[in-house]
Amino acid sequence: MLFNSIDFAVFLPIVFILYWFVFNRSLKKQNLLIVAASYLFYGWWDWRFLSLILFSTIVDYSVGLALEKEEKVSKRKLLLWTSIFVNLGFLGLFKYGNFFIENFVSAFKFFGTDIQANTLNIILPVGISFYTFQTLSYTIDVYKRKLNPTHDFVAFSAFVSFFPQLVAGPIERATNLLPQFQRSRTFDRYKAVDGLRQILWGLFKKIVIADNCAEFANLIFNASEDHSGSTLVLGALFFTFQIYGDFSGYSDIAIGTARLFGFNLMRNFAFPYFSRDIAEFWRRWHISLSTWFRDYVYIPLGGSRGGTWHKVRNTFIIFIVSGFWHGANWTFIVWGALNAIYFLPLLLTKNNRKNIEIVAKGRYFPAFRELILIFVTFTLTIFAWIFFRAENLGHALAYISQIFSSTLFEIPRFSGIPKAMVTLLLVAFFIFVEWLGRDREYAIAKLELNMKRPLRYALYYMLIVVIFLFGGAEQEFIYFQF
Amino acid sequence: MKKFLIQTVFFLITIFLINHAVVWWYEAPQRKAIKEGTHKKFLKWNAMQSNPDTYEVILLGSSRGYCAYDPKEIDAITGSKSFNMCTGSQNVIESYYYLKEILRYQKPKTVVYETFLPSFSPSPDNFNVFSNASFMSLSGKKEMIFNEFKGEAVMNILFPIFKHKYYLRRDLSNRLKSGKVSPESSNRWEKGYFYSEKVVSDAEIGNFSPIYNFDNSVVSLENVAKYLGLMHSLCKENNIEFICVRAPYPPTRLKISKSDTVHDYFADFYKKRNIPFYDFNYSEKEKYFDQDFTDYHHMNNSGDKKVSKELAEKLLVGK
Repeated sequence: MLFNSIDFAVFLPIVFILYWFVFNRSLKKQNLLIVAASYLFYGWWDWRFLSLILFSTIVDYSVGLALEKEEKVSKRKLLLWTSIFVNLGFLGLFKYGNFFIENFVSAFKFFGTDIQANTLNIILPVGISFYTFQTLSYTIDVYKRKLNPTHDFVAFSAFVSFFPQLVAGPIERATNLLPQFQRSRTFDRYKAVDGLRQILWGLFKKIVIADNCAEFANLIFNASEDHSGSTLVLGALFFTFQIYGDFSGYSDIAIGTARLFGFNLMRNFAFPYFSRDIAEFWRRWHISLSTWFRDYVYIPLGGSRGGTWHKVRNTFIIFIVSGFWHGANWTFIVWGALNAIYFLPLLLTKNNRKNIEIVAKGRYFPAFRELILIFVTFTLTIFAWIFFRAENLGHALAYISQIFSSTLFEIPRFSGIPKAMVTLLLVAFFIFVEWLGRDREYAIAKLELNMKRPLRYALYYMLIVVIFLFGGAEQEFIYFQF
Repeated sequence: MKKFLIQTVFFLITIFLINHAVVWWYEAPQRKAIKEGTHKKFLKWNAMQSNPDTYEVILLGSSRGYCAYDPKEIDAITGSKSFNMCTGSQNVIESYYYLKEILRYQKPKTVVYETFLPSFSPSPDNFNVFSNASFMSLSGKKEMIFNEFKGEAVMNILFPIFKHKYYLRRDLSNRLKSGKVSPESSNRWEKGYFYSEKVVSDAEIGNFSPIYNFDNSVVSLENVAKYLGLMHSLCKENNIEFICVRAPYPPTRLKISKSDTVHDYFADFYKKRNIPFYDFNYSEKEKYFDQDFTDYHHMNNSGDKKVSKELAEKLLVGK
């Protein structure tokens, strides 16, 4: 079920009313409702893959209980590896199986041996990378004794399958979300209103910004050989805003929806395109995944401790694994490696934690130097997104070489230029609102504080009208494929 | 909780009312045109319904079809009675249901379908769907909406502004540009065909981009096979000849397009199903110029004379 579909518009109020009016007297029943609603939400797409979620849930719940009783280090390790093997096994089979088969065949061919191997005829279950990482966080935290295992199977199932963030995150930590399923929740009107406001902003980002930009990003990327360098730059720019609007929009809707049910999910985006360096960008982009890799991969590897070689190695590992997490394609690996290259100079010169606060805090305008830094970081990011969006490495390299051709200075030409101009105006409006609200969790969060009710409502109506009038053709969320 | 629910319901009702108020205002000229009998879709459906068993050739397809094929020109050569039932952004799903509806009133000998890639988009233009549906018979309308557009129908009732979004946007930008909505009524409609003398400007030609192809269009190949198959079967059942055509594009656009995969795909598709297919972009008889068009893909009266003649000759061969 898509957040921007009529199905969800019907589903959400029904679950909300059942949750607060019918099942409100019992925590267990509320959790049970969440599990049932979440399975329905996921099964709407393909009910067969519910078995994977259920299996993961049973395995990790059982491993958690076994870890509680087990004191022997070797046996505890075995239990942890069982959980890792099952979760990453599913991920490996469904997501990376064909990638490895094809690359093995190519590698053998390269060395002169022709081998035959059939690729697997399987489809990728939506959101598998998200919920496997979420359940893994539980077993790892229990193993490290950061978290007591739960004895409540229903609460644990609800934690694994919680529908607002099941298919595209934020990837929650068990330490944050699981306890919320174990304590009773009371309705908080301000929280619910805030949730609705965040949903509205998320829908604007997805339907107006991402879906409109997608039209031109697809048009230009799919026929890149027909376009001039200047048009390709525009195509990359459209994709840059498509992916941000799409993914951060999804996160806003997820977080807002969770708030309606009394839950606090972690923040996933913090105005990343206003970053002054790549390190800051990665603290603001897909925060739940970056911090997951930091906590469960980077720090166990030694983090930034040790010599230069260790730092370089760990940085490359973390970025390449993060790239590979996005998909079984060399383009994602190169995208990750490229970001590692961007990041390394900052790490080695110990400048990676220089820009912690949001840019121009307490001011309306950034300093000239800040503006230049934002521009440079943004340009580097756009360049990296070309690899992320391209079909394969050949496509990415051809795209880049076409950009740096003599046609770079031609006037961009593609079908639908007037509509593209309107889209760019909408993007400009979006950047403006994001800039004004950059010191909050999401751009329009401070409307509650700054504006009187009539003006606030007028703005909500205006946003809705803009969504209705300027919404692009419905597109699936990009991150569903991950 | 009570306050939250009241506020939310109040908010939604206001949205609902604003939607209906805006649409009521926006659709006023259409209501007036229907009342006065000048509404283009009303005229088309009215011609079908009030002249039973009259038309021997029916043309279906998108606006490229109603700008290209002039029934008067066709009839002058073939001696038959034809009518152009192509409508703006007509999706192949609509074409199938419109054909079913037309067959309630007419017994055509030939149905001509204009092949245009965006007509196979998985998401039809809701405004045109519901606008045409409003002129169809109750059972025809019900069948089409219940089978194909249930969700869109709910959306249309709750938030009718949604179906007008492309048109509201266009009119708004026209207003911003020129201070008034560009009048469409300055051109005329004849037997469903749109007569226009406008010629594309050199500046517009300079901005031409490659023609629609599978890379720059969202197409449902499932819909291509399903609905063209259904139309073909429906014609067979009713002993109607089903012919598919493709109106010309400005030559400059063809020139800057690296390949024409759409022609190759449909030539192969129709050949496999024994459906005659005439792509007038590759005509050996007529030469088309950019000046035969009003814009980047709609023909003007100079172009449509040539293409209507070509189509009429093909229909004669069929006879």
